Amino acid sequence: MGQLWNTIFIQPMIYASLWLYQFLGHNFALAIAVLTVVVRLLTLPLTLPAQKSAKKQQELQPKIQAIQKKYAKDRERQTEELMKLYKEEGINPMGGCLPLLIQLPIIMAFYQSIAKVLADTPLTLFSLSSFVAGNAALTSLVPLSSKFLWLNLARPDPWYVLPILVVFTSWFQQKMMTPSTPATDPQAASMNQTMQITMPLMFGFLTMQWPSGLAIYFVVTNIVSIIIQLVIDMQGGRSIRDVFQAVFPQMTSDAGTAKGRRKKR
Amino acid sequence: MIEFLRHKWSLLLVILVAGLFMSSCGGTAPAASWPGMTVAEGVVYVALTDGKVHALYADSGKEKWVFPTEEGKSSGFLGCSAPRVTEGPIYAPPAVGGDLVYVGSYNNTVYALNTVAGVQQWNFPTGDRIVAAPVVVDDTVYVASSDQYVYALDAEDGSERWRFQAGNWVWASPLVDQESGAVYVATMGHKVYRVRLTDGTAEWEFTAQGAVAAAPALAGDLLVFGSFDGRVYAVDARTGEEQWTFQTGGWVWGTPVVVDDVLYVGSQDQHVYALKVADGTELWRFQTGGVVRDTLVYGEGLLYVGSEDTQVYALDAQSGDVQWSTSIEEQILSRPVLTEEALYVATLNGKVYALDPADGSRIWHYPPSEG
Repeated sequence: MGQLWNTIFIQPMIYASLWLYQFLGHNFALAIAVLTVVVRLLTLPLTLPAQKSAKKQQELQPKIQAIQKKYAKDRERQTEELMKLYKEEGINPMGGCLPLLIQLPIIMAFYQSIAKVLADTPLTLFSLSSFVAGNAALTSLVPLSSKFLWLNLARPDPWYVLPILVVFTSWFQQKMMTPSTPATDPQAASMNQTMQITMPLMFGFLTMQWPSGLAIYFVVTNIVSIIIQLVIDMQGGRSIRDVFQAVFPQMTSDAGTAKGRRKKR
Repeated sequence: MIEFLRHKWSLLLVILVAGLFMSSCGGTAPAASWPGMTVAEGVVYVALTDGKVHALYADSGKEKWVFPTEEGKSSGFLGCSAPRVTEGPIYAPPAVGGDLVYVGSYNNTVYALNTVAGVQQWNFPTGDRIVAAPVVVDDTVYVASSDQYVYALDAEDGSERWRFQAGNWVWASPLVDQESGAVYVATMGHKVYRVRLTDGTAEWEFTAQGAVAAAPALAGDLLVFGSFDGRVYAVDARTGEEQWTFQTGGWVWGTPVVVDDVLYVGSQDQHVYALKVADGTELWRFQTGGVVRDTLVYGEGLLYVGSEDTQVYALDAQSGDVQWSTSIEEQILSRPVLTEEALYVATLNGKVYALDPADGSRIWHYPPSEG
């Protein structure tokens, strides 16, 4: 099973990252960034329906909450009405799940292959050797130059810049996905709030431990997700300003108030 | 990734992702290093995978001392060892000179301990991790570091005499040849240098097609070494000019062993090769069931091989025929050590075995309660 996983997923990704490294002037940070974008674009047919479905469900939140409130004591009827609503709106509530599950191995393989290629200890290099030993061109690249700006890509960022970027981009992306209308269910609202803070912090904490090359992967993949979401939003008739207003309501309302005050004077 | 979290099944997916991320940690923490071992004056000095140097009596396997005595730090978040950066494992076999034993650690530091009780006499911090075994010649200890330098230190007090900038990680022990007054330095940046023994000035450099992770060996006027490009190289030790190469099917991590006019080397392609020193002609090859990562050891017409397939092989050096083999039941990635009394083998899971060189039967093992 492990061998099959390595052959189908890990080996091609290791080869791809090493070829990119060679092609991009031995800059592995750039290779990770480019490969991340390529992988995200290739998995777009899988992620896009999920992202669209999630977004549509959020837009329907007021209607969903109204049904939940109306049939709070009749679970059967509640489910029935919800399914009816989903059908009317053309949403498959489970539709987003399968594509996400299918792309999980790809994301995992990508993560594992970066970790392997970034080998800078004898044991990790020994592990990498079983993947590249048969290819003279790739073997000649080992060990990779892991220097990029102030970073050693095989080790954690000593200045915590990347973990901060991971936290910010994760939070931004999650905030974009949050419905602009507040949840009427206080439990759901509280869960949303907690998720918005704890999940980005958790990813930030993990990237403090991991090699900075992996943190670059997380930052780039978050940015790609933000761009995709932005495109979906714009297709739905929202402007960039609307999106930013939804993410930073306080700042934009403050700015609006200040502008208003200036006009009054 | 955050779109997962908005979904109904988000919690399940997060748990699944976390589980997969952590899957590289495994149920039991993988070894943070492979063991390095040396034997001197009836004592086995072995740096095990726990990041400690264990001094064992060679005849009984009983513990003499352990350095350091306190427990090391956790291997990482939730016990995750990869790709977490570890702090104190030791890859390098210790080196003994006089009444001191020298240990290069992954925490960038070389330690000098007394052989009696393992008490630290001095330490010397380098700029990065130390993978190579220190080399002691007379009153100088040569230390190679991943900070790209090779240091010549006073063996008594650790003061620096000179340093040589090698331009890349140096994971191979320097080869010191007092006769010609040279130190040979191999680097992970594909280079091999000949450096003047007295002041560390480079005399020539040779570029291989792959990283050179193990010390070269001298075979008369030839300098022989293996590389990650799968080749065994022979260059003129005086000029650095290539004389011949021999292609194996995998990375060569070990130092070639030279006996008279034959050199023996293991490869990641699972083979042990016997080559003619003069021109690199293959005399025989023997296939094990796993990677032969480190250096082989020769004694009394037999070649002892530790393999990733958990077997120790004793091969006839003339023909490559197996005289005996025994299973240790654990991967062997480190070189065995041979004395008149025993063949010592350390495994990747941190155990040491003393075997009878005549037939491979076990004399003792360490820790005594296991294996």
